[in-house]
Amino acid sequence: MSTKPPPEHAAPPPELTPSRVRFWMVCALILALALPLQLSVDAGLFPDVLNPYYLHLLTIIGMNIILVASLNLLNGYLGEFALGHAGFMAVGAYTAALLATKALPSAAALPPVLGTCIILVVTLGGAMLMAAGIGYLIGLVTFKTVGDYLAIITLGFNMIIVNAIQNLDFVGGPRGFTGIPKNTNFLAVAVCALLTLGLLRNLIQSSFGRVWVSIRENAIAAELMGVSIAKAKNWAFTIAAAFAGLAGGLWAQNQQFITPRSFDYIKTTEILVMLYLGGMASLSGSILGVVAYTLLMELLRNLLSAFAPQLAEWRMLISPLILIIIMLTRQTGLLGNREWRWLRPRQGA
Amino acid sequence: MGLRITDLTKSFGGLTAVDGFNLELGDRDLQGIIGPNGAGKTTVFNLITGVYAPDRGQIQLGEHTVSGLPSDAIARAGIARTFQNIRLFAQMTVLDNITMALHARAGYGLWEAAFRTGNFHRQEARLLAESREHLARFGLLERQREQAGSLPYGEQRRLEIARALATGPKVLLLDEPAAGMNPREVEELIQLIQQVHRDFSLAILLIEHQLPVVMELCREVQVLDFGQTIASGAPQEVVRNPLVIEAYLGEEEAPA
Amino acid sequence: MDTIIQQLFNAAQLGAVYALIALGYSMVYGIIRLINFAHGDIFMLGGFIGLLLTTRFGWMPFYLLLPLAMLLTALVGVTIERVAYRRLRNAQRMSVVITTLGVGIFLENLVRLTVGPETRQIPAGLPSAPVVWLQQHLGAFVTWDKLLIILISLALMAILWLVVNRTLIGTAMRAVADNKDAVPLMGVNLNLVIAVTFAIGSALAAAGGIFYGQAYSIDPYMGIDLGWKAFIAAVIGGIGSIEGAVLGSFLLAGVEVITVAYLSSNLKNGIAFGLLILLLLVWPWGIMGKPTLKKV
Repeated sequence: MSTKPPPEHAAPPPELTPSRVRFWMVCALILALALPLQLSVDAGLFPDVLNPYYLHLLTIIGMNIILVASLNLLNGYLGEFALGHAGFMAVGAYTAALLATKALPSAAALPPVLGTCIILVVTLGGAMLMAAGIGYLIGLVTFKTVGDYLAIITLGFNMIIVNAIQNLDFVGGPRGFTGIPKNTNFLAVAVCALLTLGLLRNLIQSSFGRVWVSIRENAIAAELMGVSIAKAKNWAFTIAAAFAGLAGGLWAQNQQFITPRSFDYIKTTEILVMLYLGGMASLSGSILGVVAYTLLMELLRNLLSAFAPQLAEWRMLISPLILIIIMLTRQTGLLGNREWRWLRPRQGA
Repeated sequence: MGLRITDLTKSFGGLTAVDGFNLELGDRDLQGIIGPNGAGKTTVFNLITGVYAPDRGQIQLGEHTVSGLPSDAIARAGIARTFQNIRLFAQMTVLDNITMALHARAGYGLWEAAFRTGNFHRQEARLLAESREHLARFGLLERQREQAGSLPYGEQRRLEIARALATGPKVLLLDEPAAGMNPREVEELIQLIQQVHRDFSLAILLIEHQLPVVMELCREVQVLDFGQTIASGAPQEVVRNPLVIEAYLGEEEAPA
Repeated sequence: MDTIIQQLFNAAQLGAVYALIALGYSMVYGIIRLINFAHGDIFMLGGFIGLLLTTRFGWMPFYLLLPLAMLLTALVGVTIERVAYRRLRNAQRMSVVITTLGVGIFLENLVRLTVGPETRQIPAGLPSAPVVWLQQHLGAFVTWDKLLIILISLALMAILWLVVNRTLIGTAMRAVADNKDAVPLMGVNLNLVIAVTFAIGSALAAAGGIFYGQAYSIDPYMGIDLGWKAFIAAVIGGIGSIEGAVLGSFLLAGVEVITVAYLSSNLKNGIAFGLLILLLLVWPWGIMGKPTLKKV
């Protein structure tokens, strides 16, 4: 319409590998490493190098990535301040535990690998559906609240969910749910984490994601562009809850024992610490935050107990300090609003 | 089509911000609302776009009554606006600001987006092409990858207008588009609005504090003071109206 | 009849503790629009400072010990504000809220690692004999410490009300709550006002912690649970409003005492949060809060 000076920025050079392809390459690479790792640890090969404890750590990292990435959808992209993520995780964990122990035959009664796969698909699918349903309901109830009040209400629901489970005798009440079969391993968690990251990336880099971010950037403008904020928020809540449920389902079938208390405010806070460490509105940040936090805690534990065994507990004091220091010095976290290339959108189709 | 407003009234506490406002905006009209600060101009826009619910009165877009609907429904019915204090999606790219505005015509569902079906890729390519074409019309294509918040002020205004138009509105409301602009930018803006009015098939309602903008653009203006219409008609006549002169003299800025 | 009166006193005692915490939440929120998630842990810390003082300086009478513990806790509160929150005053609100979360966890773990995770009781500083008059005339068994806790709490709230409404610093606080940006223009020292708010809030929370430690018990994690309850109370009453915080606290305590007495103590938290959500849906700004107008 008007005459503009020539473009100041030349278009970036065409990319050799589109991000779509790069994403699959990363997936293939991770699975190519995970499969032999899992098999060798299962077979007890190289016990000196491949400590099962390391695999356990990697499994925890994978589950936490699912939790943190899905919370990032709400707190990073949608720009809300949801404080009840552990509640959705609890719903998923208990649903999966119930399905695995009461509704499904044990894996031993089914053909070896296929049987476990079927059990996982059913239990995790159930966990996701149930958590999504609860997330949807909570989204419906809270559609008018924003900011601080949304934080309060989501935390309130977290506590109500935990409290409700404590009062349900058939899932063990406050004593917890025991005897859950161990249907997951690192490999299954890795597949689920990659699936979560892929699906979340796809959604974020679609019209849905643009609408979520626009709500964060300016809710009134978004509304006056025809966005139904209640509807968009409710989708985000439902999706985030579903993935938290997935993590819960994996958690239950990995730990084999869950109590209501493991899903309270403290767990939510831990998820928040990893989220903010990694950075808001960045899936890469979510991965990095989880890995950095987990490794740091391990490192601190080893370092402190090298001085004196009882000192190891003092790392609990260091993790909140890290959080405070991040907030005081680098509020965007390690990777706020930035993505690694394999998670980035296509530049120009 | 067009916008018809009758007896629009809104009070806050004891203060009547808009009192019995009427408007008849034809299909391809370009009208203005002027008035001193605090006269209730922006409140009129907020009532039209459903930010506030009117106490009394009716707003009709063509055959449909839109007063009482929520903001997003009014926007989808075909009323788009810009804001006095620019409200871009500052951390999104210039391109995404436009593509986002096409959300209602995305043409794919959640599952298709999550699993990137063929339809998703086709529709997304269409959205991207449409957005770029739109940006090109506003001379912003070379800025497409920049963050909207990092654009210079004049271009932010232009992007905001472009974004409003991307929703395909029947009525465009511009809230003090020339605010904070230097004379050269104002000149460019006037040309832009004239061009938009010519190229897009829509009606424009303009709030402006600077009289020259309104004088040049509008066939008809209303003057608001303390929520009431004190004069209306052709801009050249209206500015000679003693009531209008008095209302403006109450301010440091006299009419030009 | 007697049990109802006893329950009434139980509710009043619990409500008084809630109110002492809720006031800090409400004042800080009113002034800088910040949910101070660490406030519950300041309450916990106040309780432990009280415990430390009573065990180390057993000779100290309660009327000396209480203000001393309040003073020390106020110092901690002000220090935290100075070191952590002040730098973030113009930052994104979420970063500040996260910082308060971090401070809270830090305090919890600090106390757990230094004092130990056990549940403790603060040795009685108040007489625990029953109030004879109440026993004779109403047939209700109410101990003196319970009555005193309620009365001292009410007195502290009255003092707070006077400070906020009848002194210069209180006027400045209300002015900041009204419009933070205009206040420095009028020659008010914003930093001082905010520091005083944190000091008062922390001191009141410390009193609550000590009372709670006498009436029930204290542990490093009690700040989470009770802090949240008090926060709910503040929200129910309308956060930012002093009267609302007190009203909400007694209301919540009443509901809780009734739940425990007639339903089940397991349902206590669920019902408290259910009440919160219900009330927020009916009154999105709390009972005494003021609605805010959308600005476009």
